[in-house]
Amino acid sequence: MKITVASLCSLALGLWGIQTGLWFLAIPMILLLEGRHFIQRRWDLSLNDLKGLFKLCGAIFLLLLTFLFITQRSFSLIYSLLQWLPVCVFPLIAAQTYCTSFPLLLRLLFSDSHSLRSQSARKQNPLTLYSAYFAICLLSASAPNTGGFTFYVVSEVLVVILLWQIRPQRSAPAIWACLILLVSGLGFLGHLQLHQLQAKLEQQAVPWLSGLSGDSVDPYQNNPRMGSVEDLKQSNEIVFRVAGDRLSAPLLLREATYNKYGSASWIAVKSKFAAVRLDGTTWKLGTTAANPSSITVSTHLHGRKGILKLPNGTSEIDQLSVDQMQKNQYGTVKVEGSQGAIAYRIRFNPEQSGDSLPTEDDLQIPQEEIPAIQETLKILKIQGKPGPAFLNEVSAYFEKNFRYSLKRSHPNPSSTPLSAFLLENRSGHCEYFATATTLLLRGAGIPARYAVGYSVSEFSPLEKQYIVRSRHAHAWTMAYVNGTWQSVDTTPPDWTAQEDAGALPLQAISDLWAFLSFKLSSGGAGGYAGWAIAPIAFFWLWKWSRKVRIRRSPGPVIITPEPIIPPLQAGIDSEFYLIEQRLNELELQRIPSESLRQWLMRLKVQLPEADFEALRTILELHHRYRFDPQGIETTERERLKSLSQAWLNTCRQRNESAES
Amino acid sequence: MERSFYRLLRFTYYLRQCLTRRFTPMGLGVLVCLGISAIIGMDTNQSLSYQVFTFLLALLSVAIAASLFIRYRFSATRILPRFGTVGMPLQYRIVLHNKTQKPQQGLKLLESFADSFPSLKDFRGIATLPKNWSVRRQEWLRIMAQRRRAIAPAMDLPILSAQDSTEAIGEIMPLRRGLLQFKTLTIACPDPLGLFNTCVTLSLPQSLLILPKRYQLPPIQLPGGRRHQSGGVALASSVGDSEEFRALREYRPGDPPRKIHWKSWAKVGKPIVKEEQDEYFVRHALILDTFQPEPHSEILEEAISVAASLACEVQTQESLLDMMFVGLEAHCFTVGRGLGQTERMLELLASVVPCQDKSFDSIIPVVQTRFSLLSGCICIFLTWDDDRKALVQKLQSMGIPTMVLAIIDELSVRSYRNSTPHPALECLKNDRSSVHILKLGQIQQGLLKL
Repeated sequence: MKITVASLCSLALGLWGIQTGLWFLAIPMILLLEGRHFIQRRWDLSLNDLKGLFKLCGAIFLLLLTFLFITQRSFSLIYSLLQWLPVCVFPLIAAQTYCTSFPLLLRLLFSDSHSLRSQSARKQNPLTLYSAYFAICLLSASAPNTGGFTFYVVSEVLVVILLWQIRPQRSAPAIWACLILLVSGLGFLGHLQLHQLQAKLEQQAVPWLSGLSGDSVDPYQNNPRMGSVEDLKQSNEIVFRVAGDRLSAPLLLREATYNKYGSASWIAVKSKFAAVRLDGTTWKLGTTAANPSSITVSTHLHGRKGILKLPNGTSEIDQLSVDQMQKNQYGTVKVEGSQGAIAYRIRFNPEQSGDSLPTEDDLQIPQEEIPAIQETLKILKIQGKPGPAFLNEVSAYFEKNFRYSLKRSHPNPSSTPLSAFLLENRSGHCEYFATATTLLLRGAGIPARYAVGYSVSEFSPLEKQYIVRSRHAHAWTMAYVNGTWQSVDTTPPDWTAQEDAGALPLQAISDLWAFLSFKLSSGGAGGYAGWAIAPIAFFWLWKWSRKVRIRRSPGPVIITPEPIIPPLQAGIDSEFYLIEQRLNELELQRIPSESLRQWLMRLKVQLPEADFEALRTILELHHRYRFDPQGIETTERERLKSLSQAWLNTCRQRNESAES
Repeated sequence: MERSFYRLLRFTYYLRQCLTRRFTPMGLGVLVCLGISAIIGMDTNQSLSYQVFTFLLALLSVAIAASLFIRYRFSATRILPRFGTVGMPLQYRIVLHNKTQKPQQGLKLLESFADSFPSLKDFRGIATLPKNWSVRRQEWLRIMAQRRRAIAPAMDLPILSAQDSTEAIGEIMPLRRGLLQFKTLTIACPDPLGLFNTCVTLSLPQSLLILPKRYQLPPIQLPGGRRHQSGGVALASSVGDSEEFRALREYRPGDPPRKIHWKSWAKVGKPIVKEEQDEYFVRHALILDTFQPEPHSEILEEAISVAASLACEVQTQESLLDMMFVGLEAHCFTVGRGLGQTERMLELLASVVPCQDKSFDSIIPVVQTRFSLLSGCICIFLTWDDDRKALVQKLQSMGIPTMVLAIIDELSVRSYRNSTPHPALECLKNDRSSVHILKLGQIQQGLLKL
C-alpha cells in the first residue's frame, strides 16, 4: 500500500494535535485534508488568488506574533509561535489539495520563465508543498516538551515512511532497512546523550550564570561584582510590582541571605531548605505577627522555579499557587511548580524576624580583610557603644566619608577590593557598602549577615503601585540587634538617584508597553483580551505603515510651546519643617547627606524618650504626606498638624523652663 | 571590509552551488530541518526538537557515510551543435561510457559552465554607488543575472549498460548571447537513502556560440522596396554589372580585357568593348546603435535581438542588406544575393559589444559612403536625441526612405507619453519614413504592430 505525502501530512497533523493539545484544530484540518478522497469537486485558482493566499498566511502569522508578543515577553514565545505554524500554513495546503492549477501556479510564482520553458523542467514532478508541510508539522509537534519517547518513535516512523516513498531505484530494500535501523539507533542514543550533556552543562554553568544574571539568585552562593566589573549597569526592565495599603518606601525585599564571606564571595553555610506548611491557601512561614503589614508582589516565574522576594519578618504568604515551597534558616524562600505570571500577598512585621538565631559563622571575618576592618573600627571608636548606637555610627560614617559609584576604581593590586574600598577609594556600589557593614558589625561583635534583593522605591502613577526595575537590585546587611534581625542599609541614600540617571529617554513608552503586557498576562479574562487587542494592534500598525508610505513629503512642522507645568510640591506645607527649624535653632542640625530617619535616630540620645517617640510618629506622617503618591487622609493631616504643634509647644515650654 | 564582504558573498554562492550538487532535494530539506531543529532544540528541557535534531543528524551522517561506499567510473563525450539561441532550449548529445562491470541506474547528469560570479571590481562599483542598500542589492542581483549564461537543470540519465556506451540527450537553456563555455560534466549518484550524492566530475571544456534572441516579425515591406528596381536580373551573382548587352564602344583604359568584343575589333581595327547595362539592386542598410556608456544594458540586448530578427526575416534573395554598427571599430557587413550568410551575420551580432568610448557621430562616415547605393534604411536606436535625429534627417534629405525603431525604457515612455504626439518623432513621419517606439518588456508586441 502506497501512502501519499498528503496522507503523511494528516498523520503528522494528528501527532501535532496530540503533542500540543490543539486537537480542536487538528481534527478539522485532518478531515479537510483527507476529504479529498470523497469530495470530487476541484476549483480553479488564479495567480492573484494564490498571492492572496500567501498574504492570508502572512496575516495569520503576524496576528499570532503580535498576540504572543503582547502576552509572552520571553524566549518561550518562539516555542508558542512554532506550535501554531501548521495553522498559519494550512490555507496553502487546502488550496494544494482542492485546486487543480495550484502546482502550476506555484511553479510560475517561484520559477523563472526560462526554467518553465525548459523541457527537462516540464518533465519534473509538479511542485507540491506537502513535504514542507510535513516537516513543519513535525517541528511544531516537537515544540512542547511532553517527555517520554512516544514523540521520537512516532515521528521517526513517519519520516521513515516518507523516505521509503522517495528511495532511489538503485537502493536495495535490505540495505535500506539496515541503514534505517542504524539511523534509528544512533538517533535514539544521540538524543539521550544530548539531554544528559545539557543536564551536566547546566549543573556546571548555573552557578556561573546566576552570578551574571540580575534576576536569578543562587540561594547558596553570591559573587558580588566587587573589583571584577568595570562599569556596573543594570537594565530598566521591570522585574516585579508591589502593591500595598500603606507602604513606607523604601522597602527592602530580600531574595537571599548569606553568612560567610571569603574569596570575594558570600556563601550560605549549612543552608538547609525545609518544606513550608500550607494552611488552606496560606503558606505559613512563621508565627503570625501582631499588627502585620501587608503587600502584594506580582512577578514572573521562569522555568517553573524561582526565589520569592520577601520583606524581613514575613509570616504568611497568600494566594500563591505553587506546588512546593521551601525555606532555609536564613529566610530564603524558593518555590517550584508554576510558570509565568504569579502574584502573592505577604503579611510581615519587620520587628519579628523569622530567621534563625546567630551562630559563630555570623561573626567570622576573613583573614585578608581583618586589617582593613580593624583600622576602620579604630576610626569609628566603638568602645562602650551599644548595638543600635553603633549601627547609627556606621551609617553616619559611610554617609559622611563615602560616595556611591557604579564605576570600578583601580586599587592597589596588593589590597583586596574591600580594603581598597574602605581605606583608599571610599566609593563603590551597594555590594561594597553591604559587605563592609556586615564585616564591621562582626568586628564590633554584632552578628551580621549579607542580604541581596531589591529596594522598592519607585511609584508608578500609571499602575498605581510600586514598580521595581532590574537596576533597583540592592544589597544590605542583616544585623542581630535587640534580640532580632534588622535590615541595615548603609548605602548612601542618593544611590537610587544615581541609578535612575541611567533611565532611557523613552522609558515611559516601554513602561506603558510593560504595563499592557502585565495586564494581559496576569491571567483570567485578561489573557483572552489579547485576542481582541492583537487584531486591533495589527490593524493599527497596518494603517500606520500605509500612512507613512503615502505621506512622502512631510508638511510644515508647527511647534507649539509646551505648557509650563508647575513642579509638584505636595506636602511642602508640612508642619514638620517647623520642627526642623526648631531643631536647627537648638543646634541639632541635619547633615546634608543624612536622611530624616537617620537624623532622627542620631537625635535619639539627645531627646527625651517621649519627645523622640512623638517625633517618630510625626516623621512617619510627614513622610507619607510629603512623598506618598496616594497622599494621606484628612484626619491624618489634622493629626500631623496637631502633633507637630503639641511637640513644638512642649519643646518651647521645656526650653523656657530650662532658661528660667 | 569590502573585500571581506565580497569573499563572504562568493563563499555563500559556491556553498549554495556545492550543496545543491551534493544533496538531493530531500537531502536539502533534511539539512534545512536539521538547522531549524538545532536552533529550537538547544534547550532540551523546553522542547523535544532535540530529538528531531539527533534523528536528522544521524540520518544525514549515515547517508554521507553510505555514499562513500559507492564506486563507479565512466567517460563522456559531448557532441554540441554549432549554435544555440537565447531563450530556446538547446539539446545536444552526450555519449557516456560505463566502465564498471554492472549497469548503473538512477544517475543524474549535471553540467557546469565557466565561472560566472561577478568580479571584485564589479562589486566595488556597486558598493560605491551613492544609493541605499536595497538599490545596491537589486543592482547586484541584476549583475548576477547578467553573468549567468545558461541554466542547466539536473538531468535523469537512462540505465547505463555495463562496459558499454550509452547516448543521452542533454538540454540547457541559454540565457545570454556570446560564447558559452562548458567546463565540467558531473554524474551524481544518490546514496541508498536518497539524501546525498556521490559525484564524479569530468573536466570536459567545450564552447558554443549562442546567437541573440530572435523575435517573430510580420511580413515587412521595407522602405524603398522593389519599386526602385530597374531591370535587374534576379539570379545575378554580383552587384553593379549584369550580362545584359547594351551597346559597343571604343576601349578606354581600365576596361577589363574580358569585355573586348573581338569580332568588332577585327572589323574596325581598333579595340571595341561590349557595354552592358548597369543594374540598380535594392540595397538596404540596417544601422544598429551601440553607443551607450554602460558595459551591459537590457536596451542594447533588445536592440541586437531586433537586429537579429530583421536580419533573419528580411528576404535577401532579391536584395542586399548592409548591417552597420560600431563596436571596437566601425563595421559594415553585407548579406544577400549570394554574398555572405545570415548565420554569419548572427554570429557577428552575438559578439557585438557596446561602444563606450566613441560618440554617435563615428557611425556617420560609414553610412555616408553608402548613401548613393542605398534604397532604404532601418535604424535601431537605443535613445532618441539630436545626433540620431540629424542622421535620420540626412537620410531623408538624400531621399532614402527610413524606418526608425527606437527602443526605450519605461521612464522614457512616460516622457514621450506626456508630450504626445512627440514633435521630434512626428516631424519624421511621412509617406516614405516611419518611426516606431518599442517599449522595453513589450518588444514582441511592438514588432507585431509594424
